[in-house]
Amino acid sequence: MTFGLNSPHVVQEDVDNEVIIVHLVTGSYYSLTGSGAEIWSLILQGHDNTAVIERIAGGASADHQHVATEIERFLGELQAEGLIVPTQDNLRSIAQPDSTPSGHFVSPSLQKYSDMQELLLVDPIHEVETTGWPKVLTNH
Amino acid sequence: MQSVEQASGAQNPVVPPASEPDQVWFDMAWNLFLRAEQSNRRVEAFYFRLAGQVICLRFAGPALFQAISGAFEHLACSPVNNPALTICCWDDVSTGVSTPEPEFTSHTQGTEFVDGSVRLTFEPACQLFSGYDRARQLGLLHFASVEAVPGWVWGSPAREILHWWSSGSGLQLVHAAAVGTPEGVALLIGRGGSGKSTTALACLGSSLQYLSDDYCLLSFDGEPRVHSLYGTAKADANSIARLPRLQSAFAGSTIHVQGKTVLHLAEYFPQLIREPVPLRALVVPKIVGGGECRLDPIPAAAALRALAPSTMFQLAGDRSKIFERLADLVRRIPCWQLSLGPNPDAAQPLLADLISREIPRS
Repeated sequence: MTFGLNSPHVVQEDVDNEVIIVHLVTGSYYSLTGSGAEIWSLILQGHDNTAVIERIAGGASADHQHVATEIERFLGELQAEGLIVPTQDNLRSIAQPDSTPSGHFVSPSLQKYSDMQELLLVDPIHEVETTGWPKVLTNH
Repeated sequence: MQSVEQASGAQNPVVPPASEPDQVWFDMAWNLFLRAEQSNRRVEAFYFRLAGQVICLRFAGPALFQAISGAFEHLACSPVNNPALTICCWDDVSTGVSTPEPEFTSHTQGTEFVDGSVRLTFEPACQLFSGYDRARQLGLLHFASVEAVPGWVWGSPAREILHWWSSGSGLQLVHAAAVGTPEGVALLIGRGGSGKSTTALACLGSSLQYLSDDYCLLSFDGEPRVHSLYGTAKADANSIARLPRLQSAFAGSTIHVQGKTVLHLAEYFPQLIREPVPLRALVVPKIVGGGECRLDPIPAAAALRALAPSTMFQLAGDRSKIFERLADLVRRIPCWQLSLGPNPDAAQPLLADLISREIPRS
């Protein structure tokens, strides 16, 4: 299965090898630790989950099954938070990844920051369609 | 305070026929402003220069003049014929017009935002309407009454309109305090309550100068520069008690909103930085209670976490663009954490030294 960024609701930037992800609807934002940035990069390059596991496990000294379990768990977390969505495009599953594996696997994790949700609860901004904007009253 | 009667620049933009619902609503509101202005028989306008461009605030009556223009007094300039942006401000009670309330979809809290051929926001709790039409360089800012002006407007009026205008002009409004010298400034970044405002206010009247305690504007041509936006300061009683240099100034202010006193700084601190200044450092304050005030380098990603969400989620529209711009910024500017002890004055020498070190040597 391949995944893509849940665009346009989610934006992400890689800053000095640390990935910051912002969910524009929920207000939550995230950083990835461990091998998370490397896995994230492979996902966004269009590699399916099997290719990602093979790529990471193949370059790491860790147990293959452990790596596979951890990556599947991580992908589940990313999906559950609405950061990635399944796509039909698996053209890259047999392609060579654009980056070389680090060779060192550290269990990936998703660090979630929810402090902006307070702001959104108190003062949310609801984006509405132009057709949802009020009609002009005839007496004006 | 500068009040200009029917300045030549306060002209009415040509209104093309509207077809989209949001544009129709904008035009209706614009016509109501004109009606209110005519009934007042006097146009009051205030001009200020922001990021090299002149902006005109146009009022349908005197009631809102001080609330809105006071925050820009430090940037006041002479009238021009073709301002880059005209913001028309009015309220119903003092002008006698009746601006209709938008019919809502389902929201009763927060802000409704339309991002269409024009941009519109409406806050039902305070009946504040903001609109912006880029094609006509025209902003609309409507309140039910002067009494209904929400507290934050006194400190940062027309924030949405200035965000929309600046974002389309290659500028970026950011939620940050800024202090420094004419050679360089540090942005103090982070969510509310992180200590950035108190640290910035402590610099008033010190060797470091003050640009902002809450919002400022960035430009990105060449090296990133910081532009003063609002010449205001806000502080609650607790902060004022920790800032003895400012106590007499705050005591003289009559603007009290939501537990904070708002100060229009131009009359108390004429040495405010008004010109754009190169950005030298991004500083994330962190209140640590006891211990010494200190600066430590932090990863750029940590600075992005402090700067981007608190800016993006306070503004309507362009959030993806904001995130991209701010990510680019943190890659280019050194990032630091400022651990704050109990004495807000202790940060000044550290920040002055940091800014001095980051100034390129010729």
